[in-house]
Amino acid sequence: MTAGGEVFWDGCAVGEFRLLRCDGCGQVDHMGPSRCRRCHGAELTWIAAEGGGTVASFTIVRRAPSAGLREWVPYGLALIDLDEGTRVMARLAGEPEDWRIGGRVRLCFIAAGEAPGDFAGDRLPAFAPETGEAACGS
Amino acid sequence: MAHPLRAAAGITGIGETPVGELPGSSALSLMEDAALAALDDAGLAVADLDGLVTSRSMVAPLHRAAVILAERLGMTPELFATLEAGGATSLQMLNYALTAIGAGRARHLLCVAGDNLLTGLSRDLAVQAMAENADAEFEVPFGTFPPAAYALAARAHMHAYGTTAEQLAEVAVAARAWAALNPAAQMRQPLDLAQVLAAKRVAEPLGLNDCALVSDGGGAFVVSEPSAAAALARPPIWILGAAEAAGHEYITRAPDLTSFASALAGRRAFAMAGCRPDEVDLAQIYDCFSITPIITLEDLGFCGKGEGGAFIEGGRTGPGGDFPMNSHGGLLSHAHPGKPGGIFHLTEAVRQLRGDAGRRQVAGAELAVVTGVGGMFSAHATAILGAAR
Repeated sequence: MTAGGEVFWDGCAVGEFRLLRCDGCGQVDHMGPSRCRRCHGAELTWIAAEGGGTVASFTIVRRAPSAGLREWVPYGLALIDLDEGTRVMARLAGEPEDWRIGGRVRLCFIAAGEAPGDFAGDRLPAFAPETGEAACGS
Repeated sequence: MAHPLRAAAGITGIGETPVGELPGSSALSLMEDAALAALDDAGLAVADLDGLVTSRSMVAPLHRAAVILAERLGMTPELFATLEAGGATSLQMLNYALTAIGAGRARHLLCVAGDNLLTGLSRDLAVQAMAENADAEFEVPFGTFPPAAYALAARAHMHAYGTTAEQLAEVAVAARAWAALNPAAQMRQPLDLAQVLAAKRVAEPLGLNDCALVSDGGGAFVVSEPSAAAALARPPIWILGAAEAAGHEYITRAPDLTSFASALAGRRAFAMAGCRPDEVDLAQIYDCFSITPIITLEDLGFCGKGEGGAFIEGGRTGPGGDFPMNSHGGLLSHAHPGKPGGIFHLTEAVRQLRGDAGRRQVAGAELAVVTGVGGMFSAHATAILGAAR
């Protein structure tokens, strides 16, 4: 795993969705770049996302992409525009009828089983519609 | 002033292997078969070539595939390159050949792609192939794979512009109708809108028939300098425009989910060719998923942004329609051997512009556009081909 990936997944284990903020220009980014993609500065600081965001798009995966995910389909997969200003990929939680593009969502963590990459463990980031009660379920 | 590379080379030979399930085939055997077929079609021998360009295999670890193929063919090429742009690789090979020939570095170049994705891809390799298309640490763990990434674009397009599942299904139905006329195609049994809409969903809104096939197969073409082409038996098909554009790599990074770098590649190719979309007789538009041609046609300027669904409606892209598209059957019904997938869009365009397409012949086809897409709407290439210079 890359250094960025390790810090991110360590964060998930303690309930944080970690992002990188550039010390130089303040740009917030995801996916562990080693330099800021806007100003190319190398000084980046990890921050924890506040947890709010908006659904940019989503899909419901019904055919498992790998054997390890077969028992988990169907599941919601989304691109979320976080309030910090960066887009991230994550699972959706809550009721599928509440999932919609433009809908407000909030971070939670779900048990995902054996996800590809096998380092997600049982703390996979997901986003649930803010309208949903106890959205992340059991 | 005309672009210096406009018609600086032409396609003088095409070759295809059978497609579908080909037990015993390998990436290398398919590339060899396609290469020799293209040389035979051009009336050339291996000794006439100055070089060759290949794409990578997803099944065989052919590092330096161009060198390996050169060894197999018994040639010592001056130019040899193995390119990687996913489904845009075939058109990237064309652009490489055009640029090298236009610079005076070669007279005849062979471009080859082949892979046995259907019979050769083990479960481990399939998972690895999936991971190649997404970030291993920030996307793959959430369970994404190509159909899901394209589904994200499809739903965004439906939400923004009212594109319907029926319009997506029309792309698959037209592809199948063309494939029914193509004895070489992998899937030829009839398919209608109701069947496409009732098929199992893979990643909503995309169902089984909205997704490309998985195939074995290969293709090749020869690109020649004009005076060298003039010495051959048949007139070349001219490369009037060829351009590329790379946007994001990962779908999470796409700045827009309904318009991609295809707009840049398309604009550059049409500007180089000096023609407009409405002058095109045949559109060979990369169709890894049914949403892909809808967005690409918009990006290329065939219609306005958001109008792609309405543009392809009413069977007009199928046989007998007024906007013939993917007349070989496309990746949806002819074949999709992975990285070589787009090569058949190109070889079919050449066949049509030569007037050799038999029952599928588009009357009066003189100008064709061909597109390729690699990754998750990531890498784009467009070519404009003409029967006349």
